[in-house]
Amino acid sequence: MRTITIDPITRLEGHGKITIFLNDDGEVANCYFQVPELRGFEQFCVGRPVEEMPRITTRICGVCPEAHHMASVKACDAVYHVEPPPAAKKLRELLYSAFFVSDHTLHFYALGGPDFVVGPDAPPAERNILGVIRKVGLEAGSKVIELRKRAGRTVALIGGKYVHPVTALPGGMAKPLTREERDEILGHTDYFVEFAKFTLGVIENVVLKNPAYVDMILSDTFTHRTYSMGTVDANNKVNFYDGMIRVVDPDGKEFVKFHPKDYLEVLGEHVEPWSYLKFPFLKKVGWKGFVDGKDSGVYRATPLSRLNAADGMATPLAQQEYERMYSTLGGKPVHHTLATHWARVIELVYAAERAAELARDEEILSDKIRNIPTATPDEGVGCVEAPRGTLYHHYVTDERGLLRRVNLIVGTTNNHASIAMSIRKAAFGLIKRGAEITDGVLNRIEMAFRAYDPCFACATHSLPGAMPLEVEVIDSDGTRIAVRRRGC
Amino acid sequence: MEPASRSAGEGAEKRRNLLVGAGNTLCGDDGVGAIVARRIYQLLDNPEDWDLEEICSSPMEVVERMAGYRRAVVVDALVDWEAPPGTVVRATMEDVTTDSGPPSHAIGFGAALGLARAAGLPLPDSIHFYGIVVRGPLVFGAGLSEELAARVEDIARQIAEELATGPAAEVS
Repeated sequence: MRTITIDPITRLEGHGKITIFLNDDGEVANCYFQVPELRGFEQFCVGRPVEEMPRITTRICGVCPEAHHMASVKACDAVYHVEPPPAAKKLRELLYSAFFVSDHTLHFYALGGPDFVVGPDAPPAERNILGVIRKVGLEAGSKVIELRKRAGRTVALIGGKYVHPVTALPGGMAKPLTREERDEILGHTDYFVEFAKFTLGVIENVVLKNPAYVDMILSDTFTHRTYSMGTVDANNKVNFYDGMIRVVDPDGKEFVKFHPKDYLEVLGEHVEPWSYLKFPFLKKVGWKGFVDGKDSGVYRATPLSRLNAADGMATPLAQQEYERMYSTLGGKPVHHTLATHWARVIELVYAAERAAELARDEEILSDKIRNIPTATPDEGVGCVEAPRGTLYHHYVTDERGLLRRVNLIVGTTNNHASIAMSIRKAAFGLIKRGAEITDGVLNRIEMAFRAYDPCFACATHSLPGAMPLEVEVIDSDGTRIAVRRRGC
Repeated sequence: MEPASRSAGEGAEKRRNLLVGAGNTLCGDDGVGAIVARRIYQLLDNPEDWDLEEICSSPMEVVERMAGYRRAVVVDALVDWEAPPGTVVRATMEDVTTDSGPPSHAIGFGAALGLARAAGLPLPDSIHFYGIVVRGPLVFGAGLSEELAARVEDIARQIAEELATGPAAEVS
């Protein structure tokens, strides 16, 4: 029987590539991480009415359309100088929290989880979500499916559709939430919280009770002392939908806290000849190359960075787990890249608790959900925390609201330099002279990459929501001695 | 700009068959699945038995949307450097393999189907995939390349006929 693998690698032209060069002694001489970039999406939107952007930009990425919908509508609010009513903001945040629960769930169980739950050396055919289910139990699979169904339903009730929501408009939302819809959502958000507790149990029983995994998390191979970025509320607690952006230095001290509209004053972009994607860095520190430490402007914007950049979580169970993570991993901030998976689960807990809070807020039933824009449109920046990093939409329009300029910095772009550094360090740490380069070694190098949940589809603005990856090892004669390819 | 989905809406009773047009109509030829699916829907003898969904999302969403249907048909863009653009590649759910290891951002059809099966999701009795070969690199903007646009009618008619009488026809 002919077997056809239908996954994105068969669909897409652009893809990421890790190339590891060895020297005459068989040790790593250099390592490059390359992705294609097409800034086409930004060009494509110029000339269109800005209010179309919340619906157009959901097509940038099939995995996180809600993040683009929210960042885009916030940019539209700013372009039109209009403040949405409180109920509209709460509806948006509830939708967004449900999305976060779903997105982080899929990453933990299907993408990051297999490395820890099944093991980095397990055969590739077993190192997937089905392997996770075999190890954790069949009920985990049922719970994941049920969770995603309920999260999708919540997004659909508020956003009008399961994927690619459409209801956020400049100045608010297109439709209020009925009491019946809210009552249904209450059941879903309670399930989110129960599911989050179940996932904490998986972290505890499967990951933390395995000393080999904990050693791997703590190893220097997967560690970089960088600046950390994340959005915080008025109390410096993690917030996904709104707030100021805070950056802490590698020691955890506040370096800068800024309004998203000022992002160009804080961030610079470095260009390398071997990569089309730019490397953002902190302007005040400067670009010092692919190095970590306080003197290097490289920063990270990941779930772990958000926790590092904040003073805590705004909900009780998430706060409890936040404290436990830092106490287990030796204090704050944590710079172990693989701890990002644990941080992601803590964010899942927060998103679940926050969704349950918002669903119980009676104001969310208000029919005052939109302030009609009256000001002349000009320029605005919208920002949210996407699951994989801080997401900026920046629009400039003419007086009719037609777009003149569009600039997007997506979550993964923030982490481009640190991803390159993490892969490089893992390659140097794991490939040794004379030792066989096994599939497990290559997978561990890829783990350094996977922890970031990178979306180079939208980071490169190239393709919708999936990115094949190729890892190749080239010896000193230029011969390719190992290669692996995968979808997404 | 929005997909021309023809489902009865969230929460409504589902019809027996689901036709999925997968792909991004803002990314040139990547949208061929959605465009062909729209045309297939127009050509169906019994559209009242079908729901049409355009999904520009990860395979997990596509599989989740299949739950509860008796038959599902997915039309998608496919890169195959050996075949000319417009070639139609056919596959069934038995042909789809699981991913070869954990991916980095979204899971493939094989793993999504495996998860759905393991979790007891009521999957259709039959799932047929139609991959339409496109030429990369994909571009931004609505509309297909001339080469592919010229093939849409023919491909849609071919698939619509198969849905009525061919291997993808409903099993009674």
